[in-house]
Amino acid sequence: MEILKDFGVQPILLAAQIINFIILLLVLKRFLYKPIIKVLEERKRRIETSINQSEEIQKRFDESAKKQEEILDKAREEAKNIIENAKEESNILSEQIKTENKQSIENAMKRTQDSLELEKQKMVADAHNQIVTMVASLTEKVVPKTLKEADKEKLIQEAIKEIENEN
Amino acid sequence: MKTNKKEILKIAKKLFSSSFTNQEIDIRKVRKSIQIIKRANKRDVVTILKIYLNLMRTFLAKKTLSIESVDKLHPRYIKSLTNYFERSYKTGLTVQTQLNKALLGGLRISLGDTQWDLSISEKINQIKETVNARHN
Repeated sequence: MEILKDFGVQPILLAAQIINFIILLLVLKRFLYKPIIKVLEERKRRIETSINQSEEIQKRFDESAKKQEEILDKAREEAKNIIENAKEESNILSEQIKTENKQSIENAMKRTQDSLELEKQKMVADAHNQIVTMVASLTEKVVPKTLKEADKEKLIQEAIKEIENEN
Repeated sequence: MKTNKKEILKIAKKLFSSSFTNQEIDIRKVRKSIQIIKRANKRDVVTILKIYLNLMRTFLAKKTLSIESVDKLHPRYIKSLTNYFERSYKTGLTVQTQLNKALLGGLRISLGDTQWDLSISEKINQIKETVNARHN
């Protein structure tokens, strides 16, 4: 007790201070600490939720970006295929056109040749007919001058004989 | 009333067949037929007359032997041909001779619708056609 006196500690005051402190502690705990802690907890919860949400969003965004990339890759692939097909088809078409043109030219040449051949045959036939007509015409002119009376008589007799034999 | 074509033809044929005696044209019967035609309906007279005349022409053509030659034919040839055709067709024929230089030689004979062309010009034509046909 002397020690306490030497240090200037008064036991009753100390006890009263301790009791005050305990009371203050209890009051603070009830009216201050609990609400603050509650608020802090709430805040923590909200922060956690917010973090989770942003993680979720980021995850979805990543997924979306990935899908987009996949779609783009697919589209690029399809475009490449379309271009290749178009090239192939244009090659085939160009070959076809070349073949058709060649065939068409050959056909036209054949038709021209046939036409010329026909024309040639026609000319030959016409020339032949003209020659025959000329020969017949000349014969008709020459015969009256060369036929003798005896020949004329003979012709008439042969004509009469022919009629009688026919019937 | 206008008579129809069939009736007109029938009338003309009947009048034609009644214009004969012993298969020869009887001029009196022909005159009688003409009188009958004149008495027919005015619209039909011309038609009946045309048909009657055509029938007459055809009959006469069958009875006419036409002989064409380049020069005047000797009577013995004419007689020979007339006898031959009268025998063949068992009827009398009227002979007509004609000169035709286009024949060049030989004869051309016609009796009704039938013709016998034994002229040189016809022979030349036949040769011409044969040669052309072979070549074409």
